[in-house]
Amino acid sequence: MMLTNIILSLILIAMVVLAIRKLIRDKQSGVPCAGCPQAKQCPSQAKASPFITVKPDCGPSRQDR
Amino acid sequence: MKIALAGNPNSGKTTLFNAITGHIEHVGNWAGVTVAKKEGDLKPELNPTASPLRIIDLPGAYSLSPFTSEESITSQFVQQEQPDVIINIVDATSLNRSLFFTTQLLELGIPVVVALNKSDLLSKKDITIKVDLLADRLHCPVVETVSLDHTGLAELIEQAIRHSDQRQSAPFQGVSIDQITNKPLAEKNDRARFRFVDRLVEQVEKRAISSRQQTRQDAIDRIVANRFLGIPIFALVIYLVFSISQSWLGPWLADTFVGWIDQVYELVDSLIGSDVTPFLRSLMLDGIIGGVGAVVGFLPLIMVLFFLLALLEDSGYMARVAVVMDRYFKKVGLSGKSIIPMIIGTGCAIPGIMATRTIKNERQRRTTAMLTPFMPCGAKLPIIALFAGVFFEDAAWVGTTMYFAGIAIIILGALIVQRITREAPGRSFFLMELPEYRWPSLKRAFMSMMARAKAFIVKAATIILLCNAAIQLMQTFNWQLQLVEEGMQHTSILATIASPFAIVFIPLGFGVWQLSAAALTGFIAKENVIGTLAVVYGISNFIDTEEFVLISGAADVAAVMGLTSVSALAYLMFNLFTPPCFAAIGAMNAEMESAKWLWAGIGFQLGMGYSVAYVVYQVGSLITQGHLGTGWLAGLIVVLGFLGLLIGLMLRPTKHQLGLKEAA
Repeated sequence: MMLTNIILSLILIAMVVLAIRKLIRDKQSGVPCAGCPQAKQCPSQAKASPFITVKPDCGPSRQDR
Repeated sequence: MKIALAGNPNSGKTTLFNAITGHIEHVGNWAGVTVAKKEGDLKPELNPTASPLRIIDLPGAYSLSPFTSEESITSQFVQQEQPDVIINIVDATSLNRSLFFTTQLLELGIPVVVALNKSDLLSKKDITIKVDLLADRLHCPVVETVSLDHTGLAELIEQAIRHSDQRQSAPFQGVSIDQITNKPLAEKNDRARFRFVDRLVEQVEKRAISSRQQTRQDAIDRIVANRFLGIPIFALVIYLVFSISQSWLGPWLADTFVGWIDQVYELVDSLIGSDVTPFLRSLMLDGIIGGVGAVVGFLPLIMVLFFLLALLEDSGYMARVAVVMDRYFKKVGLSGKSIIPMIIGTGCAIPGIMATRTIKNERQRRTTAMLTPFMPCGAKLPIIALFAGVFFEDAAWVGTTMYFAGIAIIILGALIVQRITREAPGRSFFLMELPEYRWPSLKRAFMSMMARAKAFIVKAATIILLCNAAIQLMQTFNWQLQLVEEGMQHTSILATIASPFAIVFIPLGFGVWQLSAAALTGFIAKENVIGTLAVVYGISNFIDTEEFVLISGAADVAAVMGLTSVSALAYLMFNLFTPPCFAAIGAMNAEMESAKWLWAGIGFQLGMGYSVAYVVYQVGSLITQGHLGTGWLAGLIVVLGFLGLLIGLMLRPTKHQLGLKEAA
């Protein structure tokens, strides 16, 4: 029973770690939403967090509008 | 070496980009699909050089003038990043309109190669182009291409590489780009450029059919884009899409698919055995496999729906929908361009909100970004499918109604924002090129569907998996970190967090902590609503494998949730019309560029979702049961408070009126 519990715990931890790692990697490469097919269109423009500022190198600047 | 792809909207740039790089970027048979640049490496089999070639796909532009935002991306890129060569994609069937931009590109001093794209359509339209003469007059190579079947692409790349270090002289020399900001001078220059292009086209192009003649396409457009018939036709099309995806083909496929998920569940169950701790067993089977499986079970329905929507888009129909909706949007102070983000938003709200950047007017752009999430996105489709299947016999009308309810809320919301901001209704012009109708490509629709399916699976394996694991843990333990005993689920961490919200939802017909918890996790990702319902109610799949219909087993699921069809509809609408996921709120923030607008938008979405759900539940209860639902008075106070706030904002005196009062 002990061994089965340990193996199952390790599998669960591995699943969670892999999922978190994928989300972090996506975030670092500018993908705002995991797996989104359009996410890489403009990495610096649409961030997942409202607290990240928009870089002016992608898309029109405010002055252009 | 960098090669930029530039050309008019809907000239086939992204199709060509996909063909030469092997990428699967979203394409559509209408203008405005690409709103930002995309990059990729040229396929090795097309690259004769040893070094990698970088291809940059730029958004469509009619000119290099920085007066419009989408054009400024292209303008800024070609001027500041200086690609080694520009491939100018020209729609061969619209030479007159396309060459204006070509002549501007040729003035930049960067080598240009013209791709005369869609040249297969020339013979169908009885158009002849003297390609050699055109190349001679433009002073640059011209290659006939068909991006769809890869014709001429190898030669195009070869010409681009060969001419990358050669100087070309511009056939027309206008004012410099820096002087384009002088509007009268720019207009005079544009007129001269148009005259040059007209003369050039007269020399190189011969049309057997005058563009003034009415074609079969014009006849179809008179019906499809008709002011009276346009909306009913659109409703019928959406109804058919939902019928096929959620009543006929989708459930049949889903049924088989869910059978496989059940087999995985049973396999893992047998592997784990009975020796393992109940907590770990429950976390693995109910939390992760059950929760994620319940969401993934809807994948076939979503794939069929996206396949059909991709076919519609590829056929050219969606551009007609934009034209049909334009007249209604203008009346409520939105730009005609607002429809484009909303159509894109039916796939995912994030690119839809991003597409609002093409709207020049700041108020219209912010209003569109605020209202775009009201269109049901792909993540909300499993929720629609679940509730339509479980609570309503005919699933198709539910999805169609949700789309049109979304449009109605957008129109109402735009009207309210217009009244609050007091912006005088100005004349709005929306010019959108109507693409040719064509038989949609099954391959492109399939690729589009697979891209979305992959996105759905990745999301399920990451965000949904983590959320379901967290929900299972929070449901298993109480605040003393002790296992919750049977029958004491209301003491769990999850229940104690969700219960205060459940009180607020009593007037909406779903005042139980399980449904509240599901609605709250929906703000992380809307698919979580399904996953959380599966975990908290212990339902491993919502699609019965025993019978080949989605609605089988519905009574059991409905009984477990304790919802009536009216409260289920209210719950569905609450989840669809309250604020979108956090990622979409982030995109709203980026495009609105105003904290005041962002919080006002979130507040409006919350108030609207709550009010719609309240009206649906209370009116529905009155009709079906003959009396109002529980908590009607408390809910009425909240809804009237929201309405009062909106009316107060609409009627508040303006700064100008306040100034007059003080002067008096």
